[in-house]
Amino acid sequence: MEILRVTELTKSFGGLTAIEKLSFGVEKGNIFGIIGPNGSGKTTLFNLIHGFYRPTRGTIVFQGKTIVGKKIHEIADSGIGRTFQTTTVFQERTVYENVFLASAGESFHFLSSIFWRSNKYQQTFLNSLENTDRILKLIELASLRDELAGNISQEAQKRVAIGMALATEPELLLLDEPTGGIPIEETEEIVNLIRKIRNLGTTICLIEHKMKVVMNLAERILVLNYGRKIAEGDPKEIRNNQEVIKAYLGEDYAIAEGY
Amino acid sequence: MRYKYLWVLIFIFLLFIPFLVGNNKYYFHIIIMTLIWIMIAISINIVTGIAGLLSIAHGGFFGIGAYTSAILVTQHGVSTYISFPVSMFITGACSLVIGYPVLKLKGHYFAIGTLIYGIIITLILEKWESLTKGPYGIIGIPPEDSFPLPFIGKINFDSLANQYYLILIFTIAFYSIMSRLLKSPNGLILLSIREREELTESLGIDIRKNKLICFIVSSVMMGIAGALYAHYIGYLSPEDSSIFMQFQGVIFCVIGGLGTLWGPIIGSVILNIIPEFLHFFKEYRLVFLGVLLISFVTFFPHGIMGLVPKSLSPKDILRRE
Amino acid sequence: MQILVQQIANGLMLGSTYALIALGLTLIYGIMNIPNFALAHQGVAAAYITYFLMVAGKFDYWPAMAISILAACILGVVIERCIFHPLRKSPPVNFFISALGLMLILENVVLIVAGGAQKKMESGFGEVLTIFGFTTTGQRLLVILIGFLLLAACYLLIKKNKYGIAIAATAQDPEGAQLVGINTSGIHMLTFAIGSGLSAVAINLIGPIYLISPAMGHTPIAKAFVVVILGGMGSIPGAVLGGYLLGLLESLGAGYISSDFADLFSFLVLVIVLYFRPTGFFGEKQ
Repeated sequence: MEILRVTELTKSFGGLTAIEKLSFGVEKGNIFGIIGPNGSGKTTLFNLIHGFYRPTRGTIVFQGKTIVGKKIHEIADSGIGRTFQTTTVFQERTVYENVFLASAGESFHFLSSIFWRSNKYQQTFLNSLENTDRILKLIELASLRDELAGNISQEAQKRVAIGMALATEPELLLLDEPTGGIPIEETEEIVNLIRKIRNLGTTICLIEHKMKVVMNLAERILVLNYGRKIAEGDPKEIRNNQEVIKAYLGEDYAIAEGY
Repeated sequence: MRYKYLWVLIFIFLLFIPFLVGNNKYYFHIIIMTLIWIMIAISINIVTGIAGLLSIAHGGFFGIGAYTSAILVTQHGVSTYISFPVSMFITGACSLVIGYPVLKLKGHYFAIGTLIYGIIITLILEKWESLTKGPYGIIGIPPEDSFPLPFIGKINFDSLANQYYLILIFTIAFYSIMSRLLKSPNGLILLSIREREELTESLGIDIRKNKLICFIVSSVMMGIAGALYAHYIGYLSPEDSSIFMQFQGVIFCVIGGLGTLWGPIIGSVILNIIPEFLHFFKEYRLVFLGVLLISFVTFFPHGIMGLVPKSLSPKDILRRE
Repeated sequence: MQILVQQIANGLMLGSTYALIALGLTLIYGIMNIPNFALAHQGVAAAYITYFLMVAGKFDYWPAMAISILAACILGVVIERCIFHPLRKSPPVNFFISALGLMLILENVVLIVAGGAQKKMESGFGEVLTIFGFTTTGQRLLVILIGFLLLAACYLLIKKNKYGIAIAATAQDPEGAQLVGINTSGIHMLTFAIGSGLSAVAINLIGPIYLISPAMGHTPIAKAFVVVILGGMGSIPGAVLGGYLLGLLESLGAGYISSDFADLFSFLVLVIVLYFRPTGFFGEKQ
């Protein structure tokens, strides 16, 4: 069953076309990888799905409903979670507060927070606390819960970001370079975490630059170049695809190596 | 936990102030004005310190709250039991009407947008003479209507001591509101909107709605402070809603520590009480104040609370015991 | 018809003043992100220098003004280095507080030295003239004329001159500008000096028309901020056109609606503009 279908998606900024006539689908429960050289439009694609940009043309359908034109928080509410390329966590809040915020979201009425905390309020509060604890365990950061998010390592921050996106209970999780800036030797934990998340039922879309990581994790891969799809298939097909090799390494290399 | 005893001590001290001050009108005035400035600073701290919105219109809301109650009482003979809630409602309505469009703006544009609205409010108060008596203002505003208590009888607010107690109660209430907010999930939401708006939004939080509610609540608080001020001091002029009055409140917050729990209180107390000990002429005092401000933000960018070691300052959010 | 021409002339005069200050402010606020609420006060201080040079030093209007503008530029550099430069890593609201502190200092120092009474600057251009059927004074024409010339000169400077281009580059990308060898510190000082000088020119020019007083900067600076935002932060054409637009709005509003409500009218118009154009006319679209 498809959880996400993108049809003829196009995005132009003035004279520059970042994404052109892109169409693909993501199966529920898959880990779907998106790769491509720098500037090929991967993050722009995420921005479009997540609602930060409006498409110039084309449609995006999530769980059978179109999400084009909806506001970011509406899209997040409907089940799409996301992390960003530059590690975004709230630096001045503790790890615990970061995840709690994502978990609690808007469940609490402003005025009742200040004045009268009803039983329902307290129950919801306890639920959020439990949820936060659960996620901290999942991302294996329970020991760092009271550290300021700005003070922990890059790798831990990335896990916090993933935890936050998870806390919103998404059906689809968009991960933008979850191992960005982390040396390949230290990526094992994040890779395991991503698998764990998928095994718990969340579909994952993954932008990655590290070939080893994406070939390892993804069941299906989409390759972009200059905003267009140049290939789509399972890792084995992509590895041997001429166009992909040309895009990454250049035409000369492809010819020289006999592809 | 030793803090609990400190609070009790402070509270008892505050209760006894009228006895310490006796009949000295001047001292009473300083203390009461300090309390009113604390209320103003707390309101500004909520909207600017916690939510990160530098709204220069809030001085105008102070004026709207003050004028509404004053007009209802002096021109229509209404009791303060009615004029206060009506004043809150009108201030809230105005801030909704202003807040909704102006919150579409971001950053500097937002600040200047609120500046324009603040100026417009002052201008309206100045020009709508049939309602507000123009630049000369309203005089002869009576103190609040008396409050019947069982056994003790009616408490009237003609005496300075009773005015003091009334305003003290409200100040404590304001502090509680700010404290509850900071320690709640909604406070956390506002702090994260202040730090990183897009990230907050991507977590499914409607930032526009949260900003608007915070804007309105803090405006109504300004309005209440305004009404209390009007009935204490007895006269009002459009100057009381000016943007420069608002700037003062921002200064108190920043000096104390913007966004902190005690910052607005410390800033207001220091900047209201200390000048009283400097017996220079007014102009020299202001030059000194200017120099002080510049030196302060240069050397202590996070205000006085920035100097307090973390272990001593109150825990902000979600402290699970 | 006569009234219309009169009001337009008046509007151009007000507009020149607003445009000059707004231009200075868009350089300082729009480009350096310093909300310098004290900019008009800097101009007022300069005007007082002119006044004292003329009254006590027996200087003529032009030399006195030249000296005062020079003094304003130098003072501007001192302010930038000592007050705002050290704050570059602080939260933005601290710039705002410093500017307010500077405002307090300038206003009260002038008050202490010169007293609070309004003073009249005699420039020698005060006689009433009648041109094209409307009455005005030489001074008012001077404001319009010098305003135009100076604004045009600034525009050319920024667009064509290498220093102007350096200013624009530093505004867009401070690190990149440094990498290509632009002395960003120097550019900051230059920008601030120009902004201060423009404010000084504006207040010096209208000094002889309206009386000067220590607190006269309050209203112009608020309007200048509004103009800068509406024109688009950092946009020079925006500041200039916005300034003239505000001047004309006020003048026509005063003439045709009522002088009482002129201010209110112009601000309401500005609010509507801001609603439809949240980043100002020439500002960058978000």
